[in-house]
Amino acid sequence: MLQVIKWEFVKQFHRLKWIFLFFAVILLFLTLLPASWFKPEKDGSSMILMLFSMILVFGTLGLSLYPMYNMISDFRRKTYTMERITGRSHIPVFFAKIIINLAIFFLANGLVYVGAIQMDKFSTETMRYFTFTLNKPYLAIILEMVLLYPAILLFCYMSASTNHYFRNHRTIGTLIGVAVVSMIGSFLHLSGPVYYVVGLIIGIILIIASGRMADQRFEQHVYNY
Amino acid sequence: MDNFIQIEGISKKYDNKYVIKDVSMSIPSGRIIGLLGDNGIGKTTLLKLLGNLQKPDKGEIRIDNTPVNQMKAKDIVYLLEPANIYDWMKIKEAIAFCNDFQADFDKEKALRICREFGLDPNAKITRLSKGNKEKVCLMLAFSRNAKLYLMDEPLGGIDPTLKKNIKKFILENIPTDATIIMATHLLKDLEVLFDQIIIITGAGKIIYVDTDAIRKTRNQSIDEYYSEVIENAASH
Repeated sequence: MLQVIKWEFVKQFHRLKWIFLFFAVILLFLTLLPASWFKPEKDGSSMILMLFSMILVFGTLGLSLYPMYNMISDFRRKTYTMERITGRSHIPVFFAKIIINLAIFFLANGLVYVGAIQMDKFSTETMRYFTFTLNKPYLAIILEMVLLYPAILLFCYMSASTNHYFRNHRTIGTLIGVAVVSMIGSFLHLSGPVYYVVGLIIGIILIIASGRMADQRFEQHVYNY
Repeated sequence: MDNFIQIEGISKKYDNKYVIKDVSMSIPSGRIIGLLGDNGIGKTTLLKLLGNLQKPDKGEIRIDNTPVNQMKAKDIVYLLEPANIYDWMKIKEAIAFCNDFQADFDKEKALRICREFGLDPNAKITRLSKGNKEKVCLMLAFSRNAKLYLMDEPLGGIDPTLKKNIKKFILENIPTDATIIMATHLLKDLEVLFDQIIIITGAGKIIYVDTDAIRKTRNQSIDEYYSEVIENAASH
C-alpha cells in the first residue's frame, strides 16, 4: 500500500507542480505588493487586482474539482495500459487517491486562504476583490470534496463504462448517473454526526464497488483493431 | 505444454461489427509466434484479449489452464507502446515503477539491457528518438520472467543492427518455456524469428501454421506465403 501511495504522490506531483508553483508566485507577488500600491483612481491597478482575483477564483474552482478528475485519471487511453501492466487491484489505488486528494485539498485550501488574506489588504469601503468563506462546516466540506463527490463520480463513470449501452458514451452515462445520485441525495436530509457517518460509509462502499467493477469488467474501448 | 493457450469460441465486436468471430485455437508453450494481418483486421484486439486488457463478448481464453481474467498480470507481459508511458518519466523512474509492482521484474537485468541498448537511465523518455523509446519498452518487457509475452508492432523504429540480432536478444532474455506472440508488419526482417504464424484475414478467418511446414513442404518464404494468403482472401 505504501508503494501505491508513493507512486500516486509522484504522479500528482508531476501533474500539478506547475499549477501550484504558479499560484505560489502569484501569492508571493501579492504578499510583496504594498497595500499603498493600489490607487482607486488608477484604472490600471484595479484591472490587475481583478485579474489576480479571477486567477484565484478559477484556481479555487479547478482545485476543488481536481479530486474528482483524479479518481478517473488512470482510465485515460494514453496511460491505462501502463497502469494495468502492474497487475494491481484498483481498490488500494482508489484509496491511495483519496489520501492524495486530502493532501491536495489542504494545500489548495492553504493557498486560497493566504490569497484571500493578501487580497483583503487591497479592499476598499465599496470593493472586495476576493474573499473566501465557507457555507458549511469544514469537516463536511472535506468529506464531500475529498471522498463523497469523487466516489460518486467514480462509481457513475465505472457503471457507465462497464454498461453495454453507455460504454461508447461514457461521459453522457456518467452525467446521467451523477444527476440521478444528486436527485436521490436531495431527498435525504441528514445532518450532524449521522451525515458524517453515512457519508463516510457510502463513500467507502462506492469506492470498493467501483474497484471491483474496474478490476473485473472495465476495458478501454479501443478503435485501433 | 501442448495447450498452453486455449482460445474457445471467442468473439469481439465494436459498434455491432465483429472484429473477431468464433475463434478457437490452441497454442503450445515455448514458441515464438508471428501475428500477421492487414491494418485494422483485429491483431491488437486479439493481443488485448489475450492480455486481459479487453474482454471477449463471447467465449473464453485459458492460459496455463486458468481463465485469463483470473490470471495474475505477473504471468503475462504486455509490451507497452511508448505513448503509454507517463510523459514525466525518466528511464530510471519507469524501471522503478515496474520494479515496485511487478514481482518478476529484474532491475539488474533492466540496467544491463539499458547498457546493451546504449540507453542512459537518467534520460527523459519523451526526449528520446522513436527507436530508443521502443528500446525502452522492449527493455521493460524483457526485464521480466513471465510465461507469455504479447507484443504489438515492437520493432517499427528499431535500428537495423538490433533487428538483425533480435532473435539472439529475445532468446537470451526470456525463460526457455516462455511463449511470445508478436504482431508485426516487418515480415521480411522477422520471419527467421517465428516458429509459427497466425494470419488473420477477416473476422473469424484465422490461419495458424508452422513456419517449418511452409518452408519445407511448400518451399516458400513466410513473406511469399503470407502474400498468397492475403491475395486469396481478397479474391474471395
